[in-house]
Amino acid sequence: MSRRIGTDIGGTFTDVAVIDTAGVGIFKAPSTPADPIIGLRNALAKAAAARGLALEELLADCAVFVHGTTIATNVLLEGKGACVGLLTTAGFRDSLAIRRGRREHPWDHRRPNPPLLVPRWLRLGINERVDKHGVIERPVDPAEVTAASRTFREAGVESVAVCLFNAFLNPGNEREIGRLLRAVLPGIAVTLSTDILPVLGEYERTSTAVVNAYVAPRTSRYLEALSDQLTAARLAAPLLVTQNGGGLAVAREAAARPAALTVSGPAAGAAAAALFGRLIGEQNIISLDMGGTSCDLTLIRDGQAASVDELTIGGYHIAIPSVDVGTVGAGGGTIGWVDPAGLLRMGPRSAGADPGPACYDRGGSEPTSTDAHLVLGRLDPSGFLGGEIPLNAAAACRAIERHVATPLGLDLRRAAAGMLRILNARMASAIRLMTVQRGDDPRRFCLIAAGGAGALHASALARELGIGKVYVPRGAAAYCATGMLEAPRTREYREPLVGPLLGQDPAAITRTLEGMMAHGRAALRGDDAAFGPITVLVSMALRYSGQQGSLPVPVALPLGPGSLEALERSFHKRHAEVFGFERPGDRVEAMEVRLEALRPAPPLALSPAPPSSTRTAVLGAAREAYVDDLESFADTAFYAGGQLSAGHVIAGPAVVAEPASTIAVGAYDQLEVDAYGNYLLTIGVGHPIGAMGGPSR
Amino acid sequence: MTVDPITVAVLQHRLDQLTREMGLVMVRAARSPIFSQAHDFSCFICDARGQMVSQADGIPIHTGSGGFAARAVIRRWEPEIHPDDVFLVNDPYVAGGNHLPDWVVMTPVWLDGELLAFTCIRAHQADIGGGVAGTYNSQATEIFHEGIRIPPVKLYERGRLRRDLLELITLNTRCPDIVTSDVSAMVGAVRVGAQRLAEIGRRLGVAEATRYFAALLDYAEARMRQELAAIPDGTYEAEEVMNNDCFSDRPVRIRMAITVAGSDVTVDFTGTDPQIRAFKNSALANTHSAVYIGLATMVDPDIPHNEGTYRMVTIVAPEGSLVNPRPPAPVTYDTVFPAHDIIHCCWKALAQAVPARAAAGWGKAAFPTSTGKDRNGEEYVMYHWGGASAGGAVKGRDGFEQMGQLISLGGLILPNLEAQEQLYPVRFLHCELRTDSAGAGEYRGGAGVDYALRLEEPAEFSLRGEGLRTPSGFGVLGGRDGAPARITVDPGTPSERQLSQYDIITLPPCVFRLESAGGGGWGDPRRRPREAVLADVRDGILSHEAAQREYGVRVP
Repeated sequence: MSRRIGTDIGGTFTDVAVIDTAGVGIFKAPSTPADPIIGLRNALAKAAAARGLALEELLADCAVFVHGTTIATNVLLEGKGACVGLLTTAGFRDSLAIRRGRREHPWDHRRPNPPLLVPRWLRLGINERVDKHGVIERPVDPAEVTAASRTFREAGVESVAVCLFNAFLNPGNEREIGRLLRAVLPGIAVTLSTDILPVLGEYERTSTAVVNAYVAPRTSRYLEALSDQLTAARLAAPLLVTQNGGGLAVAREAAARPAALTVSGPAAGAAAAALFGRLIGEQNIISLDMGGTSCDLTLIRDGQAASVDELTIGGYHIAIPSVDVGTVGAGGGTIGWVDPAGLLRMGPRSAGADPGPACYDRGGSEPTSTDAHLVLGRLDPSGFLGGEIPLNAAAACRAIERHVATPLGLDLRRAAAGMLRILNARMASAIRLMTVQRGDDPRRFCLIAAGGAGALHASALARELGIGKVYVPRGAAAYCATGMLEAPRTREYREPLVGPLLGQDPAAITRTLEGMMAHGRAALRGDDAAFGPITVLVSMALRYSGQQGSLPVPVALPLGPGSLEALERSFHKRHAEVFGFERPGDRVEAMEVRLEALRPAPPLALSPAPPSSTRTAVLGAAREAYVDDLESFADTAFYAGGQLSAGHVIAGPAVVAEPASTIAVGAYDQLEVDAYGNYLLTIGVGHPIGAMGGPSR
Repeated sequence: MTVDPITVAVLQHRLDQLTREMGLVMVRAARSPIFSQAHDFSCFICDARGQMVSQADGIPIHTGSGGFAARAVIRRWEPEIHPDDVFLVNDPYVAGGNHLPDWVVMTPVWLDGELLAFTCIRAHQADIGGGVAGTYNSQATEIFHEGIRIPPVKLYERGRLRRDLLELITLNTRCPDIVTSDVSAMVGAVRVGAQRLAEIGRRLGVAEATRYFAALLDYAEARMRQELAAIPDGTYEAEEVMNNDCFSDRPVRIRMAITVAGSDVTVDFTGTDPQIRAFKNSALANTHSAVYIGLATMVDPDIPHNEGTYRMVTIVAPEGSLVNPRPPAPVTYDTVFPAHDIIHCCWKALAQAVPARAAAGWGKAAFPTSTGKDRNGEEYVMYHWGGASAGGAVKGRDGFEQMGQLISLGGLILPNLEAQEQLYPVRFLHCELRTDSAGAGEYRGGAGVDYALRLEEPAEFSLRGEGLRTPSGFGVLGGRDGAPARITVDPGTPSERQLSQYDIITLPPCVFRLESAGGGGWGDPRRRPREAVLADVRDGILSHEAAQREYGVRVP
């Protein structure tokens, strides 16, 4: 019973990572968007077959089964969610439509905002009021809720969101409405804004509660169906789902908060980065997971994943703390084109998995970055996945010639190299901004490259950013599926606590937190024996008077005399670290207390392999290919990943082809296979960074 | 000599990213919330001649003015521009400023003994002295009432701070400490930018870098010319009338004639009213910015915004007129009004040329600021953003419901009312879309809001009710105007009253209600699908009577 299975449904492929006594196995099957469970079963079937087992045998012996899902995101992006009704305080039902006037692309003023998830006639006001001090000034009149429920029932509402003005100060009226709704609308999902997010800001709470209500019914049906099918296939372990914060929840809990599943898969990138970082002793990591349509970036700093308080998905604002997943529209399918004034552009359109790059020969005729790599001789024409996806070089040449080279008056190879340089410039920009935003310097970081295309770009990106070390997991193509096996079980709780910090009652705060802690412990005690003992992290969100945002500062329990003063000092210090300044004279205000209960996953027993008998490299086949740091074609050694094992060292220029990913090694780089069978790339030190712009010499 | 198209594209990415990086430094280091929350600043790069080559990070109304300030510095200081100098300017009359609150800090980037470029930041200060706190003095009649004027000065001479100069300047503000830290944040941002730009320059070499800067400008010009060439040749005239001059209800006119000849454009303000006594005159740099927004919003939004983009645009702004005043006319409100009016003029003129791209007018703002003391006796300044107006329609979409100012195109985020209740002695009564305020059309304008609060303590209101009395979100191509804004104190009581458009008054505890202006509609309302009209009726955006009157739809 020691097997662990991670499953990640991506836009192109469904990945499965299996870790058991037979070692680590990575399996992929094409995703099946119409019914994602089919693709998942296919990938699991491959995994079982590879171990000579039936699917039921594979699952019966599984102690931890983790799933990263795109269901909530797809429901939202495709507009296929529930018919939602919204209850607000009377007089305040339009914050959802006004959206604080936010526009992601101000200059593009013709682009409409995304469709409203609740029409105005289903946004109903209730005459109630919580005042600015949190006192319930006017309680809820049950008759009004009953009347609203009638309207909802007649309109066919399937899911109701509730967000009352000032409810973050006192959720009493929201809870009362929730109780009444559940009584009069049995079977209808109810989302209270303060259950999801008890923080200041009526717009963000409303938007988040509405997104949650919108995706809830389909998400829970999906998770139920998946759970049933897995149970029928003899899975005994609970189905765990990765949440936006990177932690795991059992499926039925996660189904109640589906807004926290909107970056379910990519958030596992943080755990993956931490896992592989641990193998090489790195605490500061930029993780780059580049697939067919996009590239997900996550940042680990001093061992902690960078997080954000809000996500924007398809223009909808979801204010749930999440792993900061920076998504760049740069993938293997990103399309190159020449704009009307003769500038080469990459994206934002992508050929995705269907029709895919021109070289897939599935009807795509526009040139993609995968076509560029192929033209530059960096991909094995026999294709990916051991020939499952053959590549047609002639089709790639035609596409680039016609859409890029000819319009620009460049030869084919320079056009292809140009496509990659532009894509690299975009990714490098995104990485720089992510680090600089937090006051970091990318040169302090190690780059972990994953996904089918990540390691093709990693050397060039590292050179551009001044990063010296790149790590490529051998299972790079199922990075998140592997990472989620290291993620902890988590439960988060937040309670509003608004007012001047020094005016608070330490004993009352301690009581609140102890209550939250009891809840957290009870929730995690449950049914997953594989996980470690429960630990609890407590923090208080503080800010300077007048600030909009807040900063969490760790709290040690119990609070006693002097504790609040100590918290204030920690806040000043933390503020200086994060924002570069502090204001010791200013009043510090409390906003909320947060508690995270967590049970760590048992560490993965990845054991170092004995080094191979020879430290000299095997010889690769020599072919001509484009080399980034030479900015020209050169003789390049080609290896199949299977040829290389621990201890092998290769000097660039070289290309290593794994079944579902490829590593490009620059002329001045060195590649080493470490004791875990992963690739450690040292970027050419001392060599001047290539001329950024100049035509290749 | 040819340029490599790939290098042009890569350089564009790098410079855009560099200006964003400068912006991040600013947000992290600045003290005033106006930077971290409202993002009222812009970072940009100018070449050695002061041509703005990149401004990816910034608000639209700053787009055209950056080069003016850089060129003013070059004119004043060449040949004494040294490595590690840092310049500071704000004056609209002698230093290419747009209005006094926006200070520009810039530093030269030297490489191999040659001047390569300048990295620059323009940022709205918390206070600059003048007649009222918070930089907007609606009662000013001279620029001297608006705050301290700064010609191009060297704040740092070869890396050495001229502390006495900084002290002189900041002593002329109400909050020297805050302004000093914000200026040092600005200096930090341009220095970081300069280091990074030097790295880029070093890789290319000064000569190549200069050549490629020129290529970026040429590229933007080529894109813009392609767009303009598609607009039929001709002269298109338009007029926008402000219904007041801040002191009386006298109409103030902006006249514009846009002549398109091939891919060249002339924007001629001849016939525009003379400058006025109050602070709604537009400094020349601001007039350029507003025209650029007016043009850029009529073409492909993907075109980069640098000084090449507008090379083919000639602006004729008669001296002494509202759009190019002589000193000492006050100008502080220019980045909002008349910038909004100038953009409207461009839209009205070009609607005749390219009806498919016509944009209806956005409701003008009418919301005040109020100041007073909160319960703790602390001074506050509250912007009543909750009463902001709505956007106009274009073909293909209805107008945005309540939005920030047109000049930010929605780049500015409105605060949550819950946050404002916590900060200020007010209690909100309601803030909902306003029935029948949206201009009718095949695509309707955005609806304004009905915003009301109870004032818990007396407060001094700085009234800036530009959008009151007459419609401001104009309709196009048969679309109707949005409703004008209306302000009422103590509605429905014996003491119910209206307020003047521009004034500074003290209000006792009372109910303050602002119904904000609606956006204009696009196209004939009779062409709006019946279901869409009925949906607006069901949603309470449209009354039964208005559905019948404006759209000819009888509601069953």
